[in-house]
Amino acid sequence: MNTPGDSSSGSRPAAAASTVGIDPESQLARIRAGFLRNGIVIALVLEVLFFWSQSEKFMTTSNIRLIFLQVAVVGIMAVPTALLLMSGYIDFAVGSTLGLSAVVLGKQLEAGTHPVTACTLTIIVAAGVGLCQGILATRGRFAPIIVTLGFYTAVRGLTYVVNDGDLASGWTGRFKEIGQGLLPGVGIPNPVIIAGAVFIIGALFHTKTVWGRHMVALGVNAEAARRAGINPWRLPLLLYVASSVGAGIGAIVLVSRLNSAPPTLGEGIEIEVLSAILLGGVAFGGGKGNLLGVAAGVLFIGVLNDGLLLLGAKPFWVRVSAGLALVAAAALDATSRYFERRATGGEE
Amino acid sequence: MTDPVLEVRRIDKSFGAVEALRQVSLGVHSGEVLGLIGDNGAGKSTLVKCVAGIIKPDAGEILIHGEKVELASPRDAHERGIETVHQDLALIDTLDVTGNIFLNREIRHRPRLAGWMDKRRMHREAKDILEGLHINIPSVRHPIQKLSGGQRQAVAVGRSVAWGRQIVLMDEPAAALGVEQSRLVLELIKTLRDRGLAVMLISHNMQEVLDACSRVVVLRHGAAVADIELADVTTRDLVQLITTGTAA
Ligand SMILES: Nc1ncnc2c1ncn2[C@@H]1O[C@H](COP(=O)(O)OP(=O)(O)OP(=O)(O)O)[C@@H](O)[C@H]1O
Ligand SMILES: [Mg+2]
Repeated sequence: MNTPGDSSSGSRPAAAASTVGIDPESQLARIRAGFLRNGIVIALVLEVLFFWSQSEKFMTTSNIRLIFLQVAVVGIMAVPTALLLMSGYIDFAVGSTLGLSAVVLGKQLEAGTHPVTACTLTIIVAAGVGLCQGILATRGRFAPIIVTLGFYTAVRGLTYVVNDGDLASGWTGRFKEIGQGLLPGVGIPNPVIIAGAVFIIGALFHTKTVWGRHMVALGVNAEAARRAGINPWRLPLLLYVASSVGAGIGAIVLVSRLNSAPPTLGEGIEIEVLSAILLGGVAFGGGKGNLLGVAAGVLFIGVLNDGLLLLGAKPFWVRVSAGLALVAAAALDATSRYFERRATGGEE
Repeated sequence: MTDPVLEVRRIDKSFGAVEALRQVSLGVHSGEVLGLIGDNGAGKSTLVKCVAGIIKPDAGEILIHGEKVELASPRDAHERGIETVHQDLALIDTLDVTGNIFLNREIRHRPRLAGWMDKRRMHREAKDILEGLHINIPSVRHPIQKLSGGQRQAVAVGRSVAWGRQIVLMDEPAAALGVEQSRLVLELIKTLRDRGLAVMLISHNMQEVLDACSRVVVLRHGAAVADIELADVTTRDLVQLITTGTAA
């Protein structure tokens, strides 16, 4: 007999005529709906077509590889931060965490520490930042946005303190492989491989595991999730740590690519990360969105930066466009909600 | 008589200056449906939340099978076989019907530590559960937000009936339901009763209360003012109790 779980309830009424469907034929409809909901995918396609038509350098192997390489770090960071947003919290300090992690890493490497030890220490420092932030925002019930703005400033300040006016650089050895190497045989840059792996792991976590489901439940309706017995702070706290660890990994990749660890590293990257996430359809306040959309959001920003430079725009314009992309995310969100309302006939 | 399955003794609960519960005591036995009635703001939902482990009473004790228990979280309540249909339903809008029925009780593939959900099996079992209860939902894959108010309520009721082992608390389970669906909920309550569970039903529909319950407790301004068998009581008597706190 089918009982949920391990219980014994032999007296449940026998099944009646089939009144509750599972409707397997809707698989296709769901994929189509998912695609439409991810308006960012369409925007990305249009964007690519536009730059392709404007510049013949755009659709070349080397340029495409460059785009992917440029967005890899944003992608790595966007995944755990997106999951954190889905659970209803926010981390605006990822850029600062990246900076602190980078400086710690640089100092270690410069002192001749073994790269594995140095990287481990870097991740621990990053995780520590996430843990502190997370404890205050979840258990401490401080307003998450205020906590994270505080950390945004404080951690960057700490980065300069740790750096102590001396640019760490000049190490040798195989450490540079992480950011500069290619995966043997395929010729794809390592950072892109790392980003791809992070996306796959994140997407599986989100859609296939109980924690992904609980995380969404907390983001959509924290009180209802709590009443179902879901611990309201454990998962978000873990995701704060994950978000910071993502920044730590980003630091390792960037430092390896640049062969140096300036304390300015990662300044402003939080805007790109959050733009990508919001463009991808994840909402502030939690619940909505998926990582496929976030991946498209990351690429959208990468293509925008790359395309504008190809067209000869001054670098300042790239900053303007990054800000406008964030506004575009809001527009996209409003549009998709409009279509959703039309589709369901619901009011709002 | 044997010990009640659920007993609350002299429970107090205040929200700031509002005394939502004042020295409330009551008991529900196995195979009994207790009606909990009272005007808006009388404290009914507050009492339910105390027993469901959602809020902590300021004073008083809760006993299950005569044993004093500490219900510090909804999890504690679940572990003791207590299920609740909340007045606001407490469903997750974006999750599908299956996801809500199995919320925090997801079926996992082995090894369980990997946290990998067996979605197919959950859909199948959710479908079986609802069909077994004669609850009619278009598809268990529908997100809750696409269901009607009554269908949502049916999902919440179905969830509590499927998982309830000892005690089921229903806070206005039929409030938004049509005639046919209300009758179904009453049937489900009787099924639970016949299974030997202790059921507490909150309702503003006196006909429903007379139909399903054998006893009622009346709350007024947070205090239990009556605890009566429903042998020869009429709707009018109940209304009188709710409004004045005394029998005619
Ligand atoms: N979280 C809360 N914070 C402050 N006051 C509350 C809270 N919950 C309930 N109250 C107050 O406690 C009193 C009892 O509320 P409760 O929800 O238990 O009433 P009820 O009997 O369920 O009413 P209804 O029939 O309208 O559902 C009310 O005066 C209400 O305003
Ligand atoms: Mg109520």
